Amino acid sequence: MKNVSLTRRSFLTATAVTGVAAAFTTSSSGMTAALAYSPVPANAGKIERIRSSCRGCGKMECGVWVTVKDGRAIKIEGDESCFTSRGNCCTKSMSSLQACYHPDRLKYPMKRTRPKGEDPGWVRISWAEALKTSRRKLQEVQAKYGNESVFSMCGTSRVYSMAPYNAIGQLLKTPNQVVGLQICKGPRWLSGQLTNTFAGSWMSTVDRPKVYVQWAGSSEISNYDDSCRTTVDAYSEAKHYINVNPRLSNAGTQADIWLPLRPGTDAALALSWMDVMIRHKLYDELFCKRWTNGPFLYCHDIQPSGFECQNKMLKFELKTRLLKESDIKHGGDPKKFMVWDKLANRLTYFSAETGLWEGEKFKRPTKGTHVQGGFLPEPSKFDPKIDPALFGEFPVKLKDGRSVKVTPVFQLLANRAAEYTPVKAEKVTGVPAAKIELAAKTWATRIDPRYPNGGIQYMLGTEQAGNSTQNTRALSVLVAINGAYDTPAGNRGPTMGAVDASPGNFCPSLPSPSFEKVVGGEKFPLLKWWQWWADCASVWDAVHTGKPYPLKAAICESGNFFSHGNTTEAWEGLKKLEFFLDIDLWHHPTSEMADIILPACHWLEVDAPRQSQGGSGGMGATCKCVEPLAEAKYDVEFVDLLFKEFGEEFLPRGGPFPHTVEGMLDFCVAGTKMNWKTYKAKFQKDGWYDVKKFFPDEWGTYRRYETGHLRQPPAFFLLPGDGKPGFSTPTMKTEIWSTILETFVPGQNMELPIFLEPPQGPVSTPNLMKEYPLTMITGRRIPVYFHSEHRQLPWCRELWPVPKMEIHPETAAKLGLKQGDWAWIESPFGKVRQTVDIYVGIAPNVINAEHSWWFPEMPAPEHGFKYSAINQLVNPHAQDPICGSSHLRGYPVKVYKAKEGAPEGIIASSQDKRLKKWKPVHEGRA
Amino acid sequence: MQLAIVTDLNRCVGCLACSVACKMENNVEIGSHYNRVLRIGPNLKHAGAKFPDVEMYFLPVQCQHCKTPACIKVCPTGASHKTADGTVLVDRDKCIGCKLCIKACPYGVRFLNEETKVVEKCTMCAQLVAQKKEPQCVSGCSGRARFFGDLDDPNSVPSKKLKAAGEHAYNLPDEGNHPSFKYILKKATWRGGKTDFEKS
Repeated sequence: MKNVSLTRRSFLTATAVTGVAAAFTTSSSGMTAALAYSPVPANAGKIERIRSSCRGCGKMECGVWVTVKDGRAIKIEGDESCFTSRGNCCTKSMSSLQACYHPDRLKYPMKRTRPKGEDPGWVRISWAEALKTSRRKLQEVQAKYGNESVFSMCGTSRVYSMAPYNAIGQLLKTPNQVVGLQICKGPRWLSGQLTNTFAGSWMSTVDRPKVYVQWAGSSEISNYDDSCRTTVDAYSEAKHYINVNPRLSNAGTQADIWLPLRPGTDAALALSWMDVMIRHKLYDELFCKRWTNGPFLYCHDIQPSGFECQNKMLKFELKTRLLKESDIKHGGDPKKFMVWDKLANRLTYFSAETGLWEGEKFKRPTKGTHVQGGFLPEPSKFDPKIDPALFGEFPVKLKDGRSVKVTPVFQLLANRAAEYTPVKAEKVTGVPAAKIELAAKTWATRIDPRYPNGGIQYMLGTEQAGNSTQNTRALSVLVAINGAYDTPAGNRGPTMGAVDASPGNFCPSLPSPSFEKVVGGEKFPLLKWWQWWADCASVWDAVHTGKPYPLKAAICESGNFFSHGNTTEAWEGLKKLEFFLDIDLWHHPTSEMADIILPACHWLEVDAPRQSQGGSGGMGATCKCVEPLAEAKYDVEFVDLLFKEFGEEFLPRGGPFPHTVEGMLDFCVAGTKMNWKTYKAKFQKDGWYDVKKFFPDEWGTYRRYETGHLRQPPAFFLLPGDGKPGFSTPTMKTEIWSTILETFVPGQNMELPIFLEPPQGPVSTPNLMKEYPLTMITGRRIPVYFHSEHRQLPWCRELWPVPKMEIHPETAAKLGLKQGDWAWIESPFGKVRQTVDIYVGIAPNVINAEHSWWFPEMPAPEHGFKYSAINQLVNPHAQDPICGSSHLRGYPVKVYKAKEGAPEGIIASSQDKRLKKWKPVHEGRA
Repeated sequence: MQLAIVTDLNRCVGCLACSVACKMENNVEIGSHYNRVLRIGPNLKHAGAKFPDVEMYFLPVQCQHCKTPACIKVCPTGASHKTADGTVLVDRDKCIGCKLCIKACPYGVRFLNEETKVVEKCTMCAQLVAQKKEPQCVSGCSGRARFFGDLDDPNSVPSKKLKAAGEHAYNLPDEGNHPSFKYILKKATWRGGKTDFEKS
């Protein structure tokens, strides 16, 4: 478009809308009389409106309309047919127009000619050469050091670029993958699977909770979890809005109850809510008795034992002290878990084989009501009639003759929760006891007796304080005992739709690698069970030390090295790799460390199936709007070519799908019984699919644990299950007592939810806090950025040119800091500069810094990341003891004025003329 | 007739979509904005309060399409004019870039386009309104916090919102220009008593 102000006179030629003269019915105003309108030119051009799904962030799946004029995308707006995001279209989405056409986008495969750590001296090569060299180098490395010496890296965002989560490891036969999942969503998915279902953490905000609890996140800044529109609707429509966050957040300003807790103390707060619910009998008693292992009996005096289980590729022996028939009777069934029936005053059992109680026959519930477009079955009752005890202590005779006492798990939970009564929790969290109690009661006291007021939308902040597994687990259990798992607006887990919305991710024709040798598996044994990531810190240790074995090469897709772990370790580690292949859209510190970089397509340039990853229940598509830039390729095509280069096919040979990219998309939508072409056309015409309607018996039904539609292998789409009632856990129950943690992390008191102090902080490391007295949180949502993305987009950068550190005015005054000053933030591991933002919405001893900053305008290879990338301050070995996730938020730092001022040469203002160099360039494509 | 936008500040979460939507629709030059979102606060709720007794709101500010605009009074060429539907526009063929209007505007919402040498500001997306559509900052508002229509019509959506808001309806400081745009704010104290908007 011409660079002029749009006046009434010029708009006609710019938008080329026909027949517009007729629209001027307001001409009685006389305004048209004064102006002469040009007729619409004959060559006005072809305008299309293409329905698509945005990728400006990491998987919200906002439906959008893209206006394309003469093959050029000129406008992006929300698509209201996308009921999950309700027509939301954020700054990042609109700025995709500047990203797609950015002059700095990678156009061709390139190889480096200069050593790592300097400007790479990229020269153009062909795709064929890039793939051939990559295969040769990777095979050399694997021949010399073993298959596991190659690792993959993956971040987030392009949902069709997730091959490192499975396919790369399948192809190269290595379990070593450093993936953003470890510090984002992964702990939630993990504790979901430990508690009830894989990724059971997702809440169905679309179902409009009556009490909206927003915990440790800002979904109003459209990102993961939910869109702004859905969030604003949720808090506006709810009867009560409760916000849990150490700082005053954008939507948090509207909360009825705000709980500003000490960073990292979420599990203590969750246990406190459990205590309130237990003491006031607000928990869902029937659910707890019938569907959790709350009534199962813990016996201290036996050796842990169990039965064979399987998770993904791993077969293992479950070992638990929960009382089983095999503990009280020789030859007894280890899958029969004993409970105490208060009615008959005797032991009875639940079978983790059939999913049924002693004498019970499975009757799929048919009675219920319709809520929010789904069927809500009435809770089933015990038949035969029993009343499993949740509290107390009972005498039992073991098979060896010993008489012992056993305790229901729920009693143990109540005892644990009682360590965090509101008064006690106030000492830990800093939140006043009365407020804790009010919040818990408000959430847990049902407004509609049929179902709870809503689940809890717990987000990223719970995963990054170095105690992620138990923080998130406490929340899964809290939701469960309220009966809010798989109820309307409850936590329903991932949308079980018909579509695999991550093409190129999981390869159906190759086996998955064993995680027996995964790096970090010795320190974090659960990773061998979980099979989703290698420990990031351990990976960089292995790169640096060669222990437990050398890591020498890597492939990265959609990732950066500074969202996760210690940035300096990663940067120095990348320098040491013998070969590193990256596919990206940008020259970025990560890609500047590659040996070969490949140009990736932008979402406006590709087709991809889309489906709500969370509990929103939508199926849709990203539909190609414009031709790709130069030689940029779709990530899925990259995976296909990589597989073929190695002599493999992504799709099964002799199978029904052609061995093409379109075949891979056909494979992904096969569950809809359509091929990609038909699926896409229908979507284009009719809009987003409602999975509740598509699968009425599965996603369209709540309480699927009652109906036998919940159990299935871990996935983000519907797979055939065994049809048995209950959950996918080893006991088939919601596990308040985790038998998996009992098996893999024994003797560490991890079986029940537990509050663990963050590894660094006022209680864990008081001495450290003498020199580093402030607690720093970081990683919050920023309206115009998504992690390290969008720093080079003018519409984004001009609104937010530099990183801002929120600091309380009293603290700032003591440090001599004024609004806009540059200040150093320092930990024992590094220091960075960010600007001062005086913010009374944060506690005086807490600061909030921004994450993943780099400055694209600064020279290669560093692009200024060392100035401000906050994870240079991370203690690489301060980690969650179970899953290894880094302590990224809520650790000790010190702050002082930067006499140097701003880092030299950065764009620090919207008036910087260099922003104009980043204007869209439309040439270079078909 | 007075077209205007009423913003419900309890639904505005400072997502900045309105700022960018405007840039996209109106091709506003890099470094300039028709619509900017200010963060008001956080502030202590009252004197003597301390964290966490704090409050904050976001305030999208653009041309207020005033009833008696200060800009029109000073414009020497008649480029700045108010149309019959209440929109204040700049006729770029008449504008000589003298910048008197920029100085006169109490809200600092006008700027000189350095390339065309013509003053620009929010046009209330007249090109969209003419097609019976809403301004882009309204349709693009993620919080669905903005309501567009004729404030002289008591049955328009924004008029009804204002009526329901009662005493919670505010406008930017009025220096005799009578801003048409209104803001609804509950639960927090409106801090529009003073003007300290940046004028650059």
